[in-house]
Amino acid sequence: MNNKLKEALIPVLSVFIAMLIGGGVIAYLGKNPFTAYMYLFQGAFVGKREIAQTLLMSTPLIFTGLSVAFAFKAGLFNIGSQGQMVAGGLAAVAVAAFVKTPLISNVVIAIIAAAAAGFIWAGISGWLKAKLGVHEVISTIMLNYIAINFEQYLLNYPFKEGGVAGPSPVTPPISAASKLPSILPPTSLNFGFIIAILAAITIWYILEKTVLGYEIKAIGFNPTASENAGINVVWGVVLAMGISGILAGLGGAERVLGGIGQDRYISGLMASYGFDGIAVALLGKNNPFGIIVAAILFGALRAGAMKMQFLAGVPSQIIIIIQAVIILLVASENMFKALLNRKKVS
Amino acid sequence: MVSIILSLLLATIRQAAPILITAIGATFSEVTGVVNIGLEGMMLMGAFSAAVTSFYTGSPWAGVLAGMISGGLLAWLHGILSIKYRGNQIVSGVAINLFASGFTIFMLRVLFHQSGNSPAVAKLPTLFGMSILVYIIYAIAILAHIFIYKTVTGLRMRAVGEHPLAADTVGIDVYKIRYFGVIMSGVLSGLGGAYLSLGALAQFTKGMSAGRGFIALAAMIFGKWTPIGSIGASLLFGFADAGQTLLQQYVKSIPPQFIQMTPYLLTLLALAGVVGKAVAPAADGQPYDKNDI
Repeated sequence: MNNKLKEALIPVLSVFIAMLIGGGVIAYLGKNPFTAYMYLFQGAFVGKREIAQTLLMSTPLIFTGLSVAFAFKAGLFNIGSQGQMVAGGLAAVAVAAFVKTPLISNVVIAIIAAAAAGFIWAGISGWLKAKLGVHEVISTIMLNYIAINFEQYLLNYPFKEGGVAGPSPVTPPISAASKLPSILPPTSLNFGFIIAILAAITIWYILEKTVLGYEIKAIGFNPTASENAGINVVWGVVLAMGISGILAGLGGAERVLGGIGQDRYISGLMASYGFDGIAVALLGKNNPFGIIVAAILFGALRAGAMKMQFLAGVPSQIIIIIQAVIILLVASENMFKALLNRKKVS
Repeated sequence: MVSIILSLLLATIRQAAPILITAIGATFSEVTGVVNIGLEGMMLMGAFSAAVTSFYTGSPWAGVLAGMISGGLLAWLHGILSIKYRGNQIVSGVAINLFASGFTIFMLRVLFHQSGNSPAVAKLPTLFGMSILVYIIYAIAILAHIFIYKTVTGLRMRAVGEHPLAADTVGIDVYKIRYFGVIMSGVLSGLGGAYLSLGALAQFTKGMSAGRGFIALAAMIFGKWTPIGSIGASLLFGFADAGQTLLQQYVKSIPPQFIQMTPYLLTLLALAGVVGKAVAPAADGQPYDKNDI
């Protein structure tokens, strides 16, 4: 079997085995796995509303998946998409809910602000790595928690909507001019999905067709050799992390401006998209188009889970298990390779 | 005033305990050269298994044992993926975190038909107002220091983490030592989790490790990859945690979020060399392949 095919086979096999394991668990619970999966599929793909929901759920995963993958091309592990997404979302809501000047308080400015915030937040890690040798895994984890605490501060004090008490603070609603328009009314599927697809194409273009992409990949292969070849590695690392942060920041903007959080920033709105992004990037083999497919798969699992819970009586949390098993399997790709190679020998 | 200081001190020691034991676990793993960012998940799994076992057996000690075993099993999995198959250690750790988070939420549903927390379970006994596990945790931390720095196995672990090839040449089984380090990290973070569900509280709540596994990683780095250093760093983080609760009562002008940020900011500063150079074991994060020479 040639290597390219083997590479593509691993994610497919992983999903298949994870679904089998999930089916086993469903059967163990005394439910019919086929019925459960049928409702899961129906809930994700059958009907306009269902498809819109699947794509809506997949949008932030495309952003964070691209974010993780882009950094990875430069040999950087960005665990901080979460924090960068929070930074982006907060910047977006700062413009969209608080700036009243008509020229500035619109969706384009809010998105640019989110991208800038994501760039800076990730750029810190890039700079710490390139200049001081601080491992980006640790710095991005720390920056995640700093971002989340900062979110809590802003949402509890300066950004808090007046008069709204309660444990889950929220910002005031965003202005009408800063909303991402729906692309499939009356569903909430918004223009953010189109931006996500455009981002994937752009990232593919940067990586495959530009000097910058070449340099970033060169740094990923061998930073020392790149330095010797005249590539500015410090700037390259900062830029690679920064672009990775822009992608996550855009994801944050989409959640706030796309009407997911009832057109405002609600505490915890960014959920666990950052870590799910790592899963998506892995499953998509760091390829922008693979990432779209992987994100839609995860989006579909989430969108279909509710219908499965209602109609088949299977707890929707089963999809978290399936998702986790998929990642564990993809992470063990060397194990697959060993098994596939052993077969060939015998 | 004296009583305030005393209660702050006790709260610091208590809050530091679960971070400390997990940081000791992290040290065991990283000293042998394996990065473990799955600590968060191992802690969560430990907390869950401990609570469930305590619920069904009525014995919190059986719960502690179950917590340690389940943490150790997840760590074993991390070992297989990252030592045997030389997979990416970060990816494996992330996968373990996601798995533990999903598995515990799912099992809460299946076992107790609850989505947020388990029923109340039997709790560990206390001694002078603190869970007995707190004393055990500090004792283990000191023993771990002696183990890593004064015993032959400890020396071998450090050799494997610094230069696996050299260690291999003198006849040390690199794989075996690394498995030992990694499994210990899971056992100890499982114990940290058991403290959360049976020592601090008497039930499991969804996501109750709440980032402590990552803080433990930070504490280990801050403590320069040594158990004694981890004790210091964990106490510092515990103090920030305990102090913030006190500050909220007496000082209204500083938002608590900024105090909660301090452990993470301190870690960044420590890593940036502001607080002194932190040096990881030379082979930390590097897979070892016997046939790779």
